[in-house]
Amino acid sequence: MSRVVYPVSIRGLTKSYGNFHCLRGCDLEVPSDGVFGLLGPNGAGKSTLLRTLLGFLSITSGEASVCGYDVRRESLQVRRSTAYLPGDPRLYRTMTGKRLLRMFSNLHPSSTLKGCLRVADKLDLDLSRMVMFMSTGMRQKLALSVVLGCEAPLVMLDEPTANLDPNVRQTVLELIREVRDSGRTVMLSSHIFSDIDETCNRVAILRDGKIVTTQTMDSISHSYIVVARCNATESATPKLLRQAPQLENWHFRAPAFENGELELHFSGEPSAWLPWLGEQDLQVGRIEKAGVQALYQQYHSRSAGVATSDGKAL
Amino acid sequence: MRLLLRKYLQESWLLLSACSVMLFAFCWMRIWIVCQFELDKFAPMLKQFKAFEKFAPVPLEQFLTHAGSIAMAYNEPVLLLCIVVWSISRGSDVVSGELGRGTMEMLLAQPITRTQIVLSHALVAIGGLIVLCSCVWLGTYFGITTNTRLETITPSINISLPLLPVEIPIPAGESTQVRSPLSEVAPAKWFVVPTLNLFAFGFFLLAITSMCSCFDRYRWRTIGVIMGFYVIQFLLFLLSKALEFTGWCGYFSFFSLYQPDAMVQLVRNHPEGSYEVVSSFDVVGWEFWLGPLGMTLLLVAMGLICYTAGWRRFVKRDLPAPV
Repeated sequence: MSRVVYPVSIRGLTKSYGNFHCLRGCDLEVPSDGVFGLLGPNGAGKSTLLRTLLGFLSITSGEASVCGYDVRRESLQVRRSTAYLPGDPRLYRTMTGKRLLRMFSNLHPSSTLKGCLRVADKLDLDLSRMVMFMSTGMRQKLALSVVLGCEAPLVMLDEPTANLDPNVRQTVLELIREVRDSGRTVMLSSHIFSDIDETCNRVAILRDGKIVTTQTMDSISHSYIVVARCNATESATPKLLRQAPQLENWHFRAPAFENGELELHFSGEPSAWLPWLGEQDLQVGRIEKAGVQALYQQYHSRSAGVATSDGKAL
Repeated sequence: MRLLLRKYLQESWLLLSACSVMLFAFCWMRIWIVCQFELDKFAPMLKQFKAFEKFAPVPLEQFLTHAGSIAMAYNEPVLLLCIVVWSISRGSDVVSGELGRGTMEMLLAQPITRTQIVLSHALVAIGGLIVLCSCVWLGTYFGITTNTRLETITPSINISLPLLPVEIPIPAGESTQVRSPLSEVAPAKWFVVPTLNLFAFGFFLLAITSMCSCFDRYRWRTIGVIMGFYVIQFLLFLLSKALEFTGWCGYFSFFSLYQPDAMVQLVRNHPEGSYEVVSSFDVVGWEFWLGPLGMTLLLVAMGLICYTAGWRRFVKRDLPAPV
């Protein structure tokens, strides 16, 4: 039986500088044909993860492979299979846009000048200008033309819409969807929830160098937040938790209770949990779809912790 | 690899062209200036500097010869400046330059090995150095072949003294100034050995700068470290010449291996020793156990060690994100 080759496969990946751990035992498998989002605050390890996969940083422990190639031993093949946009792309200042595209399209076997020019044209970029005379946004567009003009099977984008105006941002997201539709895989690191919402079909959240959850957008889209006033006292809330139905990812935010309000997170069809909610001593304020932002905030809110239906703190 | 070579050539051709023109013109013009004077007339002036002769690489009398005067060009600040500027500017660019500009990340995101980056950069930088040293030699060659030396000839009668093997010249007419080909007294081939030594000097400097660049992440810091190293090495060399008991300092300075004046003197007096690795001559002005080729090869070997150390460091190091 043949083994499934994931575009990105990581097992126990750790990157440390002395006692400082940038990545801690990360496990991840990125399936093909889709856009995989990496979410996390500054310093969570998103860029470090991408840079480690490309061989810019050595691995302290663990294993990682890209398109079946070992990151440590076959870095050249990894980069042959990948198009990468750095978080802060810097380009050769004395080159014109067109010359730069020609150089990079010649350097990568999966890239063509025609493809790069097509992307540049979509982004409405003036290629006759020297890089040094381009604005930050124009340079970002130029770097995007280099990367999205390349037809490598895996595209890694670190903050691709940074420095772009809303119109260009939409074009970039459209281009990312085009890559996805062509059967290639995109790994997208971003702070912008709407970028993830609009493009990704799977998302991983990083916190302090750890991948704390990986979820499909389908499951996230079936998540709901219920904000309700609770008549019970704070000490009675664990009892409420114990009485909760056997639903997956049932969350209860303890700090929200301080204002007499509860924030309940539900996954699954509303018909499964709405009857139970109706039986509780709660005044339901609003019910809304959770989305990526709510998922992110579960792991990165400033609150002390989040209680779950199984009584464990996250 | 071909693309990288082209990229590095495009980045450096302006500096290379400027330095090449400067070196060729300087060497040619300097010979032309030397030919405008009768060198013997500088003898009284040179006597004033006799106390400082220990700082000179050769006896001061050699500067009264055309070959010696031309060889002095190899220690002229203009010539050394061009070689040093090329070596330090190109060497410091290879890793810390790209990292400092932040362009390394985009470059290494392509399927290029780090070895290819170091190798292609080194090929362009060494090729440029060869071009510069060729310009020095060509400038010298054209200078020697297109200029003539000025000589005063006084007709004289020689009178022999009875019982003594001595002849005394007695002037017998008016002195006349004549010009004769410079190549008769300073053929261009004598300057091949010092040109090779100049190349080795530049190569070592290029290699040690490249090594620092491979260890560092800021180009300005690499340049600062190398300039400090250069000055310290030069001071050690001066110290080795200044006093007898500080002579050992010379063993720790690579300037001790750069001796173009002494090489020209050696080639002039003992052409058969031009390409000796270990010196077997007892020649005035040649006080080294290594021969001219030995010095050049030692500089090249030290350069190769630096390049290897830099390459090993670069292929293993983590690349910091642009700041």
